[in-house]
Amino acid sequence: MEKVDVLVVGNGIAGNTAAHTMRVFDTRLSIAIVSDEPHPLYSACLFPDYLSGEIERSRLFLKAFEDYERAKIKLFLNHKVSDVDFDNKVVHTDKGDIGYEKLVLAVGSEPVVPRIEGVGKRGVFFPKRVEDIDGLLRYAGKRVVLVGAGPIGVEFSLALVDRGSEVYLVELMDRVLWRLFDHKPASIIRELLEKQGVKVLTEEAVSEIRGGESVEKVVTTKREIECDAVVIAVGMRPRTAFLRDSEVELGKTGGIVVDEKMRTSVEDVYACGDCIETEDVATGARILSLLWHTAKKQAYVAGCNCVGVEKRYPGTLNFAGVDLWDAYAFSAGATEEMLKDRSVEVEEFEREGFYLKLVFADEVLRGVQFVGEAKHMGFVVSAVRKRLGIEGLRRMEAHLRISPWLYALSHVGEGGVVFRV
Amino acid sequence: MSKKVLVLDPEKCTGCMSCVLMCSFSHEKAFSVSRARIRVLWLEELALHLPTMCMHCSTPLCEEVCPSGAISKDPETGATVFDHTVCVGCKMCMMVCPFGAPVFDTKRMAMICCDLCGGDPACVKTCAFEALQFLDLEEAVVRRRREALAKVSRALEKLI
Ligand SMILES: Cc1cc2nc3c(=O)[nH]c(=O)nc-3n(C[C@H](O)[C@H](O)[C@H](O)COP(=O)(O)OP(=O)(O)OC[C@H]3O[C@@H](n4cnc5c(N)ncnc54)[C@H](O)[C@@H]3O)c2cc1C
Ligand code: SF4
Repeated sequence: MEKVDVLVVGNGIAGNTAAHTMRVFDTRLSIAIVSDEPHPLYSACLFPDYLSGEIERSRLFLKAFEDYERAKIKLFLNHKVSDVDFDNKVVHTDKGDIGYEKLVLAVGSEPVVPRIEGVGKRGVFFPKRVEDIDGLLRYAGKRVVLVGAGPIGVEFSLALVDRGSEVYLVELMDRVLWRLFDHKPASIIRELLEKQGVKVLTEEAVSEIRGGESVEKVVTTKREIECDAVVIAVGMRPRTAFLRDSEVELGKTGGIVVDEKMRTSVEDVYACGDCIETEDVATGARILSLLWHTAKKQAYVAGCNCVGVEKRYPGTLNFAGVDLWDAYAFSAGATEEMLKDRSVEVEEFEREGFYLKLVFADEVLRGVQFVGEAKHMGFVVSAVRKRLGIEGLRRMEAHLRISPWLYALSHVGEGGVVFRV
Repeated sequence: MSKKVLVLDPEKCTGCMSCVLMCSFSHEKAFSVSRARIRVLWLEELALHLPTMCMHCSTPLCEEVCPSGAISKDPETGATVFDHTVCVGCKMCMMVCPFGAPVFDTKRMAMICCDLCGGDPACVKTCAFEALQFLDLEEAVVRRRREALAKVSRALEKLI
């Protein structure tokens, strides 16, 4: 049986960041990554650009196999982990067992498959892996129905319009990007999407996908749409089913429960990325973050602690941006709707081509929503992270306007910039 | 090699914009304010010109959010470097930077940002007023301390 010092399950951004972080601190440790996929690290965030033809397929890959060799990280690709024997520290895969001293679970997420008749037909896609997009690209895609107007649905709808498809975006809720934006900004975004030619249908549920072997038509609660491809993006969930009956504690969200050092409930087992549950700094709720940058940060913390370099995870601040061609939509922290049980105060700023909403709860800035020309929003993002109140925000703004270099002092990095005060 | 840092002194800056033009000239072979990686802000309240650029944070948020691996730390110089050939122009780095440093270059359709010119910054070479200097880290820190001390002693003198 193979045995390594640290075994990382998952070759996504979380697994890679954890493995490479450990390598930076410890050159002798034997590190291996197991994954059921055949590829080196790739970025799903670039799928819309690949789909629209803006970038080539090769650009999706952020690492080459040589990079793993150079970092002396062993790869067990096409190995599917079925379960883990935590007592004897052995991972069981379909191609044999691998022993470990420390384990990092970075198993990521998988698409939620809604209970709709016909989801198994040819021409129905759940975008998650490279192959899903390769498959979609082989379709003519004259008319495509997208189910779910989250960030993936919205970005894919624009990419498909760019490719020349006629696109229907069907959403069950009353607006697009409902997790990220309240009604007003969501309606601005909807208008922008419609201007680009996306047909947006909200408060409409898909009830059936019809056709022979292949998709021919989508039936919703309000209409029938003939189409030749369907893309379903109604959510992701952690790929933790194989841990359900294990000692590793799972939260209500299905994500692995970790402490601030990314340790799970089992000793010497760490977890990071899409598969874990963390605290949202804006709301205090336990959430699945499901974002690239949070996965990376958590994995860095896990990697450090795994090799004895103490680091703490400060909690999750979710933020996401969507390029709408004519404008940019950006949301950080909580929406007003998420905070409806608390005393919420809202400040809105609106001009031609510019919309900004600040959401305060209990007098602390909890969220920012923005639609307009891409702008530097770093200052508000850090204000949400710092849980600043209105006063603090004013101070910070004044501070930044009057003496940005004072503020900058706290950020001075090596090789960075030192200001004279 | 000892680490070097850029030292900005807004009090010496005259707002002549030479650094801005030299920055774009040395990188893009064009004198273009919009394609420069350094900017000079005019702070009305203080009647001060403030050169601003990438602060090369030690754990940069831009590097964290970049979905295409375009941003990395140069282990030699400590600089945060952008690879415009990898960037897909999603603008996330620009949204989250506290200093507004990344610049979207419409010619390349990609982000560009200060790279300390690989260790010999053009802006420093062109600044005639020593508002921008490139110093050894230790030296810069010592100088800063000395100046802070001088300020304190001047203030004390006034009091006594
Ligand atoms: C289409 C799309 C667009 C996106 N766009 C953005 C965006 O713009 N911005 C953003 O912040 N985020 C975006 N995301 C989310 C982002 O891609 C994820 O948050 C990130 O990839 C999570 O990384 P991870 O390493 O935790 O998990 P994953 O990338 O899911 O990796 C999990 C790894 O574990 C392996 N694995 C899982 N279970 C097993 C098993 N039992 N045995 C063996 N191997 C296993 C998988 O093969 C895979 O290698 C997008 C996601 C998608 C799908
Ligand atoms: S704009 Fe380019 S460099 Fe910036 S985050 Fe996006 S891909 Fe990375």
